[in-house]
Amino acid sequence: MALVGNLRDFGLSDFLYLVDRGYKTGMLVLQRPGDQARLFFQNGKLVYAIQNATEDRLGDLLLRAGKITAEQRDYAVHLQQTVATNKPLGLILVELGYITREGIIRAVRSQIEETVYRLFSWTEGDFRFEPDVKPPRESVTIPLSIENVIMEGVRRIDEWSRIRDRIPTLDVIVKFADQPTERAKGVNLTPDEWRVFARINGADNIAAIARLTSLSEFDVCRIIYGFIQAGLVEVARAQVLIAPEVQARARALVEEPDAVAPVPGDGVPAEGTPPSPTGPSGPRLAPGGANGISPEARGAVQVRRGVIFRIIERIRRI
Amino acid sequence: MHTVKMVITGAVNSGKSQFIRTISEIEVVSTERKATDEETRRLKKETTVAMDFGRIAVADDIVLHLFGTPGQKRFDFMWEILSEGMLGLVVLVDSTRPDTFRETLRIIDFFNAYRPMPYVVAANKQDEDNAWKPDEVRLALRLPREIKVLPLVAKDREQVKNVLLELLYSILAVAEE
Amino acid sequence: MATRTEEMVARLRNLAASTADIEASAVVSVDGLIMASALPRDVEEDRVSAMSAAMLSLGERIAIELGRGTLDQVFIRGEQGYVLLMSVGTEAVLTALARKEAKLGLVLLDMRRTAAELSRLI
Repeated sequence: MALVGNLRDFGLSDFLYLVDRGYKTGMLVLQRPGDQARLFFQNGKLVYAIQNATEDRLGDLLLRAGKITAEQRDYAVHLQQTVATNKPLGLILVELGYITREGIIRAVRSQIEETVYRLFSWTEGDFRFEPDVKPPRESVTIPLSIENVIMEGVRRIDEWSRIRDRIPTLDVIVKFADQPTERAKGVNLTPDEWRVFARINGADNIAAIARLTSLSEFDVCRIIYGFIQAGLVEVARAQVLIAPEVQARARALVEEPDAVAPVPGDGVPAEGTPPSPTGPSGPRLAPGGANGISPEARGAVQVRRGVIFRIIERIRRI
Repeated sequence: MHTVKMVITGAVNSGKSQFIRTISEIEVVSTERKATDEETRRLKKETTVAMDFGRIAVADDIVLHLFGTPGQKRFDFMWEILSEGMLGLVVLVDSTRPDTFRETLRIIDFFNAYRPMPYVVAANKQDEDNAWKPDEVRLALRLPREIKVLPLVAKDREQVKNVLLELLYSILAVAEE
Repeated sequence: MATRTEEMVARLRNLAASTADIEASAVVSVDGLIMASALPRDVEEDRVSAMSAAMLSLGERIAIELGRGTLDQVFIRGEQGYVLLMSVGTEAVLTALARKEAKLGLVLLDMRRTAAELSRLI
């Protein structure tokens, strides 16, 4: 089952966030007329990237990056094909003294970064994610933290409309997403970004943070947009406050009907439900975390006679 | 007579009319008209212009009303009108079309700005090949943790019933807060 | 050679000219998109078209459900005047805004004539 879309509607950083949080493994192909890129992920980390249909073997990569000469490449390949058939090319090159291991890592990282950051400037392009596809054999893979990639990618773009989508006004308040210190560990921030990061408290809005850090509102918006895209912070949506009239309406439906008002001193309540003249009675339903009501509590609903319970029972019977 | 009102909303062609058709006891009152704009026409021949209305009788004195909104932004006055007196909202998402996700978020923001109420999101068309799974839709929409994102195939009665039940449980949680 | 839209606008202008009672009018597709308009500058076309389509569709439904037959027209009366809706064939709606002193009978007659002309164009 492939995930497909177009960058026009779904930004690259949004997609990277999806891959990161979903710990996905596979290949993302991005395409627009005359241009193509392939990004490889392993358990949510970006490990390799290729631009266009470049013949992509390590030797070619290093040659392109100017780290080795064509003769050196050819000689190493010759050795690999004749005497050292099980040795990775990278190891041969290091043993020949043509390049160091760090040199190889730097060059590969450079290619991955270059490929990805270029993609951030694409305003449109078809993308397709193919799960479980591995990078080409023999390619050297370097795990890059997605948060860093997103932060840097965002630093390079100026997509004000995308920023506005997430941060429509300076009133917006952001708070840390789960485990912010965990995630922040792998991220490289500039001094300005750290200053903003330190001000995130779930109470101050963008305008306030700009004042407190003496940065421009524009810069703070951009920086916070980067944090949002990287999953470090999220917009504090004031949505948890349900409108009072809606809550009142809901409460009215939970009320037990007056018909079973108790007489003081009465003995056994009818049908096992202790009736109450004031509020909802019967087993108190415990919240079950993200799902609202715990499964045991759900079973208890049929004992209560408020309107909403009868509706629940009726729907269950469909 | 207790009338409980729920609204079914979502971007164009997310399956709102179908959702109500699947579960309504009465034949759905719909106001579908021939689509003339390019974008809608590419997706379907007819589109809702005012509302869909369906009904489930719970008891002699209780009835559940389901109102479907039109999807296009130009009908957002209907979203307001239909929200009058409502108890909860179902937001449908076409899981095969990530290009509608942003529009879906705008619709959610619209309702929240107008009158915040309990809502659930249903990732519809899960039976299709290139459907994004519910947790992928959740991440893509960056919904708050407490909002449920449920799988849905709007033609399937059991699944539609499940979505309504989850909304009812959310409403119950609100009432008991 | 005038385009269809220009011809429709011409009919709408005729309508406004034929009676002082009609202040503005528009032709709208049944799914709420504007086809031709003779509306004042400060009126949002999209609103008018979407609302007209919604109103007419509901009106049609109600007329049938309550045994009143095929819908002829919808009229809304406010303190400052009227909104009148009439179908043009099966694909469009003629919307007119009339002032509060309007003689409805005559306005409707003019609208009917215009609707007939418009339906030949659509």
